[in-house]
Parts: sequence; C-alpha cells; structure tokens
Amino acid sequence: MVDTLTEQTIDRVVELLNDAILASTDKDKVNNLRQVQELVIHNDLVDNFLDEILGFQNDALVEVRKFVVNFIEAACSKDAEFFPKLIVNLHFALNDSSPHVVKKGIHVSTLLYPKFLKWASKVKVDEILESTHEVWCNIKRYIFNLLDSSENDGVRTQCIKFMEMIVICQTKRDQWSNTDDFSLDSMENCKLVNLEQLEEEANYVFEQLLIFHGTPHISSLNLMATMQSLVILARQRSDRYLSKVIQALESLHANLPPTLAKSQVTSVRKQLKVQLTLLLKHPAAATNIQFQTQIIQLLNDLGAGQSEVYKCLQEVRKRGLKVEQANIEPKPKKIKLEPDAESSTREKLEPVLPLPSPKVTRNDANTAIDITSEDLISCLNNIANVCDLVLVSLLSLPDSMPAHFLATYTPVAAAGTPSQIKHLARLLSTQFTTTGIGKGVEEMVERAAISAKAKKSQNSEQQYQKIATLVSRGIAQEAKKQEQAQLNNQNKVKLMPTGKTLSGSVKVKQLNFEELTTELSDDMKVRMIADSVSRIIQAEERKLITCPSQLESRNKVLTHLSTEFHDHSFNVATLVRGYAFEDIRNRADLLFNLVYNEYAVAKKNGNDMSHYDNCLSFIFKELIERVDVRDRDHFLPRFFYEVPLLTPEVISQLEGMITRETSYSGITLGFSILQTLIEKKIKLRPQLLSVMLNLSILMDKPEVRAQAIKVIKYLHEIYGADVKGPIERFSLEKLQRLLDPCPIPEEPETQWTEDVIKIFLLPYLCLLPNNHKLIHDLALVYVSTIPDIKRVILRVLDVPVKGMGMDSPELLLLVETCPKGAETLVTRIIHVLTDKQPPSADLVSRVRDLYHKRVPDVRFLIPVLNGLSKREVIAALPKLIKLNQLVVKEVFNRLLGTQVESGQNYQSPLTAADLLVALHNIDPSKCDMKTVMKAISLCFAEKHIYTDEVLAIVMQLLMEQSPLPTLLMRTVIQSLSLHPRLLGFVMNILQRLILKQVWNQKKVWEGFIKCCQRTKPQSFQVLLQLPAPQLRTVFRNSPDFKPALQEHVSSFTDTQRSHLPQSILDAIFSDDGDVKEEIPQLENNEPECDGQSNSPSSSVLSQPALIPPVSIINTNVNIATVTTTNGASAMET
Amino acid sequence: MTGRDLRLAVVCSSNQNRSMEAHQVLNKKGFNVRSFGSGNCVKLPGPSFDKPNIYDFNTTYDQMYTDLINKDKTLYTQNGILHMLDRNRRIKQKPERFHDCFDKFDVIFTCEERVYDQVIEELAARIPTDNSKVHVINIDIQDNHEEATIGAFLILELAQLLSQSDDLDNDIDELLQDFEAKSERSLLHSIAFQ
Repeated sequence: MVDTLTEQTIDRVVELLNDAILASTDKDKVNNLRQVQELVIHNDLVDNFLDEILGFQNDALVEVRKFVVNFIEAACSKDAEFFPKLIVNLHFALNDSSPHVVKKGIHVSTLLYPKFLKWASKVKVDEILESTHEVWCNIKRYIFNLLDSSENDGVRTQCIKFMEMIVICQTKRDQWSNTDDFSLDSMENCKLVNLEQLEEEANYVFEQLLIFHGTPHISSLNLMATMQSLVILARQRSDRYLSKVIQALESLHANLPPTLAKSQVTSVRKQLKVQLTLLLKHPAAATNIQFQTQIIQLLNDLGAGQSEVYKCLQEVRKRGLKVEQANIEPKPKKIKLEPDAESSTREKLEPVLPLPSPKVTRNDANTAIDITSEDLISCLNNIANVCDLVLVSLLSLPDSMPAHFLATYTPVAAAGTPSQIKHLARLLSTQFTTTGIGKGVEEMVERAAISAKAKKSQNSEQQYQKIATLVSRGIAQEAKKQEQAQLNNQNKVKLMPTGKTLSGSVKVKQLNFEELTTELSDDMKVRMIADSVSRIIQAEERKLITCPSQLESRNKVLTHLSTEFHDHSFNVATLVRGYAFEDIRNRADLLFNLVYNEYAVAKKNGNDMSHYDNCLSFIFKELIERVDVRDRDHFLPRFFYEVPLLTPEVISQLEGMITRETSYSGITLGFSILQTLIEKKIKLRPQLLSVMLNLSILMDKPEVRAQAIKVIKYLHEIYGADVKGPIERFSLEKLQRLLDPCPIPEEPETQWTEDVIKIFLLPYLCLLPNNHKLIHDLALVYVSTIPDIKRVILRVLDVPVKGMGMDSPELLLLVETCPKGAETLVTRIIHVLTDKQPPSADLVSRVRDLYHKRVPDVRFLIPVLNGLSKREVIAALPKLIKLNQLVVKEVFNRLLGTQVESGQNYQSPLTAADLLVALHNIDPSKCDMKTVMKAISLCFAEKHIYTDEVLAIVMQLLMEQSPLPTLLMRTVIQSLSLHPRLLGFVMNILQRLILKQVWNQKKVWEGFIKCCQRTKPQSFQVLLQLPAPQLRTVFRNSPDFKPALQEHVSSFTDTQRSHLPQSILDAIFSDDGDVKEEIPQLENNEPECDGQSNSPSSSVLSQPALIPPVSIINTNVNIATVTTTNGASAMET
Repeated sequence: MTGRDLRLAVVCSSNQNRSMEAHQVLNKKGFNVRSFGSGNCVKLPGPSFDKPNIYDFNTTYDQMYTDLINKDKTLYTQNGILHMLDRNRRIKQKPERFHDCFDKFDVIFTCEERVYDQVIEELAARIPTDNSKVHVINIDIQDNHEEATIGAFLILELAQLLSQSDDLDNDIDELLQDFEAKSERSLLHSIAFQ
C-alpha cells in the first residue's frame, strides 16, 4: 500500500519535472517545481530527485534558479543531512549572474547557517562534515567580500543581514539576549570548530559592520539596514557591543553621509531616533548612566522631546526593578572579555580568517574620538574658546535658514551643562577624527604603528615556537604524521556540487612570482620611479587631494621617495624639489620635510652628510638666485634658521650672496640672517663670526662693509667674551696691519690709500666706544706708522672718541701716559672731546700736567682752555696767538664760547672784554706787536661779540691803565670806524687822554693825532684843549690841521675866543717855522719807547724829541697798512 | 518577486479614509494590497471637532455605518462619512490594526509622518523571523476626502513605478528621488526586516 502510494507520488513527480522542463514561462516552471518540492519533501523523496531538481540550477530563468535556492533551504531545513549534498550548490548560487539569485542565496545562507551549526554540534565529526564546514567558511568569506565588492544595494543589504546573523550565532549570549536564537552557548561540545575562533570571527565581522556603517558614501538603505543590524547586535550582545554601537550611532549623527538627499536625511534621522529609543529601552543601557545620558543627549539632538524620553525611561523603570539585581554579577565579565578575545585570536587562527588589516580600524577611530573629545572638553570649558568658535561660525552662517535645517532643528536642551559640553565635544571630535586631525588621531596613528611593529615581531616569534615544537616531537613521529596526512589528502572527500550538468568551477592557479616575473632593467626602474613620482606630484593639480591629512601624507611620501633613491636616480629628489619651488609659498613645508628627512637619513648612515649638503645647497641656491625677491625675503631666513644643520657649504653660500648682492635690501637681508645665526647657532659662532668679520673689510663694497661694521658693533656690545674676543682680535690684527709696508703683503706694489687705511681701521674704531682699553693699541700703532696713515687716523677719530666720552678713564690714561710721538694723536683726541662741550676737570688737569711736565706745546692747552684759570689763559696767550691764524681763531672761539652750542651752561675764564684787554697787555718782549695786532683784529671780526658796548668797556679799561697800552689808540680808531656811534665816547676818551698827558707816550700820541684827524671837525674841540707845545706838534705832524683850526677858531664868537688861552691862539695863528723846533723832542722819545714801552718815565716828557719826521711817517704808514689788511671795510668809514 | 507580485500595504491612522482610498485604487489596478490603521482605535469625525466617534478595531465597517446612521444620518451623509464607510465595507469587513498583523510585505506605504514613525518603530521592535526586507515609504496625505483621492493616485503611481523595477532593492533609492522631484513631495523611506 505504502509502496504504491510512493510509486504514485514518484510518477507524479516525474511528470511534474518533465512538465517543468518543457514549460516555457517561468511561472509554469516554478509552479510545477513547487509542487515537486512539496511532494518530494513531504514524502521523503528528496534523495531520489535531488539531482533532477538541482539540475534546474542551470536554468536560464531567474525565477527557476531562485526556486532551486529555495529548495535547498527547504531540503536542508527538513533534514540537515542534506547539507553536505547541497552546500556546494548554495555556494554556486552565490556566484549567480542575477542579483536576485544572489540575494536569495545569501538570504538562504542566513537561514541555514545556524541550522548547520546546530547540526554540526550534534553529529559525529567526520571528513564529510569537515568538508561541509570548509565550504561554509568559503561562503562566509565570499559574502563578507560581497559587502564591499557588490554594486547592488539589495545584495549588500542581504550581506549585512547575513553578517548580523553570523555575529549572533558565533557569540555567546549574555543575560539580556533572546534565548530563541542560536548562539555559541549551544555549541559548547562541538568538536568541529574552535569556539574561540568563531567568536573572534564574529568580532571581526562586527568590526566590518561598524566600518561599513561609517563609510561616507553608504546608501541610505544600506545605512539604515546596518544601523538596525548594529542595534540588534547591541541589544542581543549588549555586554560586548552596546558601547561601540552607541559610539557608532553618535558619530553617524555627527557625520551623516554627504551623499544623502534631503528626505533621506530625514528618514535616516528618524530611523536613528527609533533605533536609539530601542537602545534606551534596553536594560543594559538603562543600568548604565553613561550610556543612558549619551543616548538621551542624542535623542534630544534628533528632536525627541523630554516627554518622549521620559516615556521610554518610565517603560524601562517598570521592567527595571527585576533587572537590576541580575545585573550586578556579570558586569566584570565585560571587561575581561575583550582582551581575552583579542589575545586568543592571533594565536589560534591563522588560515581561516582574513586577518583584520593593520590600518586604523573603526574601533581605533572610536578610541581616537574618545581621546580627542576628552581633550576638547577642557577647551570648551574655556569661555574665550567658545566665543571664538561662535564668532568664527557666524561668518559661515547662511543668510536665511535652510529649509531642511528648519525642519530638523530642535532647540539644544540643557545647553551649557557638563553633559551637553561633553556631548558637543564628542560631536566635534567625531568630525575632527573624520578629517584626520586632533590629539586622538595622532595617538592612534602612533599606537597603530607600534602595534604593527609588535605584531610583526610576534608573528615571527610564533613561527619560531612552532618550529621548536615540531622538532621536539621527534622525527619518527613526524614522518608517521606526514604519511597520514598524505593519506588523508588522498582520501579526503572532495565535495562536488550535486547536479548533472555543472559547469566546472574555476581553478585558482597558485601564482609563483619568481617564475612569472623578470627583473626590470635599471633604466626601466629609474624611469618608472620618476614616472610614479611625477604622478604623485601631479595629483595635487588634479585636485585629487582635498583634505589636509592626505596632503600631509603625500608630502611624506614624496619626501621619503626623494631620499630613498639617492644612489639610483637623481631624478626623484630634483623632481620633488623642482615641484616644491614651483610654488614655494604653498610647498615650503615639503622642502622642510626634504631637508629634515635628508638629515635623518644622513644621521642613520653614520653622519654621511653629502646628500644632506647637496640638498641644502640646492635649496639655498634656488632660494638665493631663482626665487622671486619677496619669497626669498620670507623663506631664506626661515630656512637658515630652521634647518637642522648648517654646513660650511651653506654658510659660504650666504657669504657669497652678501658679496654678490647689489641691492641694499638684499644685503640687509643677508646680514640680518647672518646676525641671527651668530646669535642663535652657538656652535657655529666662530665660523659665522669670521665670515662676518671678513665681510667688514671687503674691498670695493662700502655698503657691505658698513652693514658688517654695524652688526659687529652690535654683537660686540651685546655678547660676552666668546663673541667679543674674536672680534677684538680680528680688528686689532687689522690695525696692526697698518704697520706693514703695504696693504696686501702678496702684492708689494700696492699703496696705502686713504680708502684702504680706513677699511683696516674701521672694525677697530667701531669697537672703541665699547672697549676703551683698545685705544692704547691705536696709540702704539700711530707712533710707528707712516705720516699718510697718521693723517687718516686723525681724521677718522672723531666718532669713536666722541663715543668714548671724556670721562673714559682709559682715554685719560692715554692722555696722561701719552707715548712719545703720539702727541698729535692725543691732541686730536682732546680736541674732539672738547669740540662741543667744556672739558672736564679731570681732563684739564691731565692736560695741564702733560703740558707742564712733558710736552710744553701750547697747542695741548687749546682744547682745555676753558678749563684753565684766567691767569693761566693770559699767561698762555702770547704763545697762543703766535700760532697759525686759523688756530688763533679757534682759540678765540673757544674762549669766547662761540663754538659751544647755545643752551649749555658755559663759563669762560675770560670775558670778551678781558680777552681784548689781555691782548693789549701782552708783553712786547714775549710777542711782537704785529702778531698782537692780528689777534686784536680777529677779535674785531667777531662783531656780534665785540659790540660797541663791549668796546667801550675795553677802551675804558685800557684808558685807565697806566702807562697806556701801545695799541690803545689803534683800537680806539678801529672801534670808531666799526661803530661811528662811539664818536662822542671817543671824544671823551681823547679829552681824558689829554689829561693823562698822552703826548708822553709816543705811539699813543701818534695814534691820538691820527684819531683827531679822523674825527675832525669834532676833534677840533679836543685839539683846542691841548697845551700849546703839543698843539704845535700836532700841526707839525699834520699840517692840514692848522688852516682848519684857524678857520674853526675864526668862526668863534669873541666870548668863545676869550676862553682860549693866548698860547693856543698863538700856536694856531703862528708861522710854519715853529714846527722845526719840536722835531728833536720826538727824536728823543723814540728809543725809550723801544726799550721800556710800558713804563715811560715822566722825565722823558721834558726831553726834546729827536726822532726824524720820516720815521713818524713810517709808523703811520705801518699802522695804516695793518688796518687795511685786517679789515678794509672797518677803516673806510 | 518582481512586478505585480509585490505585497503592498497602505497604512493610515484609522484605516478609514486615506488607506482605504488607496486600497481601493490599488486593488482595482490588480495589486496585491492590504490596508491598516496604526492608531490605538478607530476615530471618525463626530458632531463637533472635540467629539469624535471612537471605535475599536474589532468593530466592522458595517456596524459603524449603522451606528452613525442611527446617530445623525444627515450629518454623516453630508460630510461623506457614510459614503466612505459604505465603500469600505465593500472592500473588507473591518479595519485592521497594523500592529496586530504579522504578515510579510514588500512595500508599506504610510500616509502621514506620525504613522510612518509608528510603523518603523513597530517593525524595529519586532523580532524578525526570516529577515525578509520591507520598504516603508511615507507620503503625506491630509486626512480629507479630496486629498485622500489625490494621495491614492500618487501611491498608485509610485506602486506602478516600483513594480516595474527589475531589481527593486537596487533601484528604489533612485525611483523615490525621481518621484519626489516629479510630484514635488518629500518622501520618507526606510527599510525593515520582518
């Protein structure tokens, strides 16, 4: 009975299958096949028709192929024994060309995998099971890969679901998990697979999901699917994954994929909100305050009101009470789990899994976010920072509120509270991390590098251990094992896809690189290298590089490449440098990288600086010669200051630049660099300093010299012995060179020209104001050098000596100990010192000492005249006025204070009147009259000092002296001619002179007559007061007086006339013969005048004058000539 | 699962006006469609704004119809409620609540953002059985007769677009964006697993 039924069924199935083969539309085929499936599965006939049904897997129609996949699911679900038979077909389905079949395949895999694990954990492990498992592993790997490689959204969505299932199945439950799901807990006694291995794989898959979730260009569907999967995982495996998922959602919220359309953004946010609400309701989140606040904060941001959140929390609380107790125990488990999982992985599974790539994973990124946000919280607590942030972001604020912002905006709840700040920091930090900046990123990158290194070493260690154990096992055992393994391989069941007409699967040929490849020729290599570098370089132009971190790593790559190929190809370094110089403003960093890298490489290669030197030289050469001036001015100093090491080559480049440079600014730039280098680079100071010093005596470049001197002076002032020493040594050495017969010892024919002398002197002179001691060296050199040089020295002394000042003890010492032959030098120094200010007492006393004790040269005194006493000055006057006319003038200037700038409190030992009086009183034995007259006329030349008042005082003073000074009348005449206003005063003088019997002093008397002549007719009155004999003498000396006076007296009234004594009248109206009587009188007076002019005795007066008239005339002429030569204008009035 | 095989659902809050209008239209065009309400109860306009007629989901359209006739025939005739209920009872016996239905769909249309929220929340809270996908799409439709008619045609248009796609999962993003641009309405779209 049963048999017939079965047979009937079999017949039916055969019929249906035939129909299905013949059917033309997919609907009919699938209908027939569905019936077949029903019958076969319900009647346990699967085995009978398996091949036939699976044959449809090669059908052209998609629906039919989908059916086959469905059938596989049905069959395996019905009886897990079918797994080995069908698994390859399932794998095959995944390779289908239609995405629908692929999706179905993944879907079915998702459903079947837990069933397989369940089955596998129960049955005995044999080869078939192992092979089946192997195919499963392939399927898993294939599907994981699809997530990245598939172009189809739907396929990816299925992949996500599959991965979610994998994670659930291959991890252990925790206290909140759904117990219905299959999990690792049910596999405890499974021999087939290593549980830890599976768990590790689950973790890896979870990581992959996280990474996919954070991909910037994820589609909205995938995103929502991943989000849901992650949340499911977080809820099912909260101990492991909850925190990571919350982080992922948080970072998603902060960084929604930019590709999403407006409405998609809304959808995603909604989904996010829903998922977060689910998480919030989860007991694991409810019992962790941190998670809870994090989620609530996010929900608030997403627009969930307080009431909504409150509702959720209420819901949680209702369940919460029973939950909390259970919660206490397993907590520490979480902490333990992670390191466990991590450490176990590396050891136990080598082949099964694609190892996580060593690059920065999502997990690392999350850690980075944590670190950065910690860092940011403190920043955000600073009000100033927050203000800045707000102000800056105001700039980029659009004019009107964008619609979608308006739609999604919710006021920030609890702004400014610590939790909100923390949240904000996290949001910022997420963005930071995505752009690749921030503290966290740096740390993680570092950590990644370290762990990569560690992993490498660990791997090798493991290998080593393995080898060790292998050896210890013994050779015999090993041989036996190998035999067995061979057998195994032979016997191993090779699972083949079931079905009749299966196309052969593609065999993967193992690649053998050594066989396949031949070595490239060197030329080729070089060219390829150069090409790749230029492609990297061009990447910027093509705008491929956008974010700064990329640019940075590109620069890094370029840098390393350029140092990498020193020995093979010069192209790379030159290419990169050339590229950097194309736009130095933006690419200077690249150059710095180059330099530093070269330096590092050089250090590594045992201080072989040749490449570094080359690189540096090239850069500086370019900077100095080729780069635009403005860029040069900016970058040249930077490079000089910031490169790790300045080679001698580079220093000489700088020197060369200064020497060759023609523009002022260029020279200044060079010097400012050199100066800064001297100041900053202590180690190189000697070299740099010597460069600077040599520049200071550079022939033909006055500008360079001037700048160098300036800098040297500055350095000498500021720095200590290590700078001062060399500078002083250098300049003294140059000073000593002045003693050489010629400036350049190699070329004896060169001459000491003024310029050359100055060049050698200047460095020295500029130091004098700083170090006064140096002055003594100058004196020594001065003494023994040639006159030409002496002259130059005297001329250039001005500035430095003024800089030293007259209080300088060294200067005073020099004055005091003036070496023999250096008197002119010392005089000059004193001159310079007192040029604009009165001499100090110290100086005066030193000079006085010198004058009195050693060098009785009056010229020493001139500079310090003002410091001397009146008596001293007067004593020195005769000597002084004997000097050159110009010097005398200078002396008077000093005495009269004309050279002293106004405003200075200046006290001359002599007043102007004093001086003139003193001049008149000079002893004729000490100085001849002519010199005195010259000196006096110099005084008259100073009209603004010798005003009429002063002159009046002088005359007054002179007239009161007895005997009268010889030159009195000359001065009177001159005063009168300069100041006609003085006429009345002069008349008065003349009258008073008569009272003093002026005729007793011959010279004065002559002058008196001359004066009268000049002042007629006013002088008639004076003449009339003369006694008759003297009047006659007057007539005799100047006969024209007589008629004039006769006329004058004739005009008198009788009364007037009656006042004149008769003798006078007689003299006036007498004959001319009288004149002869008087002549001997004059003759007599003459010798007395010569012998003792200052003290003519009264007895002389009565003696007859014996001087012949000729001599008188001579004297008159003499006076006249002197006056005309001294001041022609003065006499003409 | 291409073309007309799509299992559609239309959800509004009370499964009376908007979802039923669309249900009718889609039904006529041969779609495999069901309709639901997402609210806790069925609300119909009453004599005044603050006095709606409230029924639970177990009440049939017919019962409501008779109830309202008894209450105020003219009012409910005038405002079209009776007419609507009459149409509804021809389509199916009684309103259905989405939360009580565990059948699987390929696409769920919602007629209001709040409804959309409720639907995705519900779907997210469910534990999926075989992880089959469902697309949830929201088109905002105001709750009145005219808008419901317009909305139903929009849903129809969209359903036709979706059903013509060979690979809906892959195309839906683009389809929806085109549709948004064309109809000048913004849609919400999410995916869920059931």
